[in-house]
Amino acid sequence: MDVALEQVRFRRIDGWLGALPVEVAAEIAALLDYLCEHGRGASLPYVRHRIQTSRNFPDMSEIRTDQWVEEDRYLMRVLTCFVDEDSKVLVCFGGNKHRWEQGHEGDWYETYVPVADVIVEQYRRGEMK
Amino acid sequence: MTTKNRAELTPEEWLDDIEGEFILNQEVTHPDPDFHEMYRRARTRLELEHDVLESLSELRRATGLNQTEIAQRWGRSQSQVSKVERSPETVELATLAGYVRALGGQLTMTIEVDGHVYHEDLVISEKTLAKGGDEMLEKKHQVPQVPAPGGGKQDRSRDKDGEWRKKRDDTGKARPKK
Repeated sequence: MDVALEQVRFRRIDGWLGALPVEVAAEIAALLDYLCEHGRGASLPYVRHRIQTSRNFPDMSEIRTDQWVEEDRYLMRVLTCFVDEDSKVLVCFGGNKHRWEQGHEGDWYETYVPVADVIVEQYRRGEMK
Repeated sequence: MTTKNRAELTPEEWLDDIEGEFILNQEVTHPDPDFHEMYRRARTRLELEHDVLESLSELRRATGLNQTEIAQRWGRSQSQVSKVERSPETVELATLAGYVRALGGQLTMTIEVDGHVYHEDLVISEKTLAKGGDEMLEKKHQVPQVPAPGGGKQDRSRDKDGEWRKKRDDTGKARPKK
């Protein structure tokens, strides 16, 4: 059953979105609201749940988009986590997986899922204060 | 305003403001004045795509077609159309693909196993259609090779989180310019 969740964003997300091409930022913003609207009922190809390598498995999910803007590919992944007993979606981290893989060896998820996990833990520490 | 560098932060840069605040229930904004219109269109499209109907007959009615018209398009009897709509889980995949084609749609298959995702569009082969049947399916996209457990060909097709590198949305190949 679909339920509307609240959306919490790590502050850096907003600056990051503002620096993206407008069509990419609009797609991601729409997908974030779609995820909040449908929770775990949001589905592929736009949302993938249960990121296995996360310390927050099975609550870590990702938003997936793939757009071209002029000559640039924006294969975007935004890592999110269900928090506060599934009442909120915490938006942790976003990046262009395609561009990253062009400049780095190794795996995008191996690098950035831990970043998202740190943000989730920081959020939870703040909530406990 | 838009710069590639600002959008590409390292893990350290991303976390250097880890003590920073979290923003609750505020709309995303963007400096481009077209943002809200683009957002609205994307949101509408997503909701339409997510609006899953409860049954095949409901889906058919949404297209404005009756069972007889589907049967004519499909080259089958009306009773077969009825059977598919009553029990889609019991019919052959290829039969279902034929029905969906008659509806004017596309049958897709998504398999998820422990976070590994495989997505496939299933289409009736033109050769089979020309013969008036729909018993055979051809895959529109190449299925990645799955290595034998514990050995055999090295698994280079998945990344650490179980995504197929060769998947059609992750290929990295340049798309043809429009």
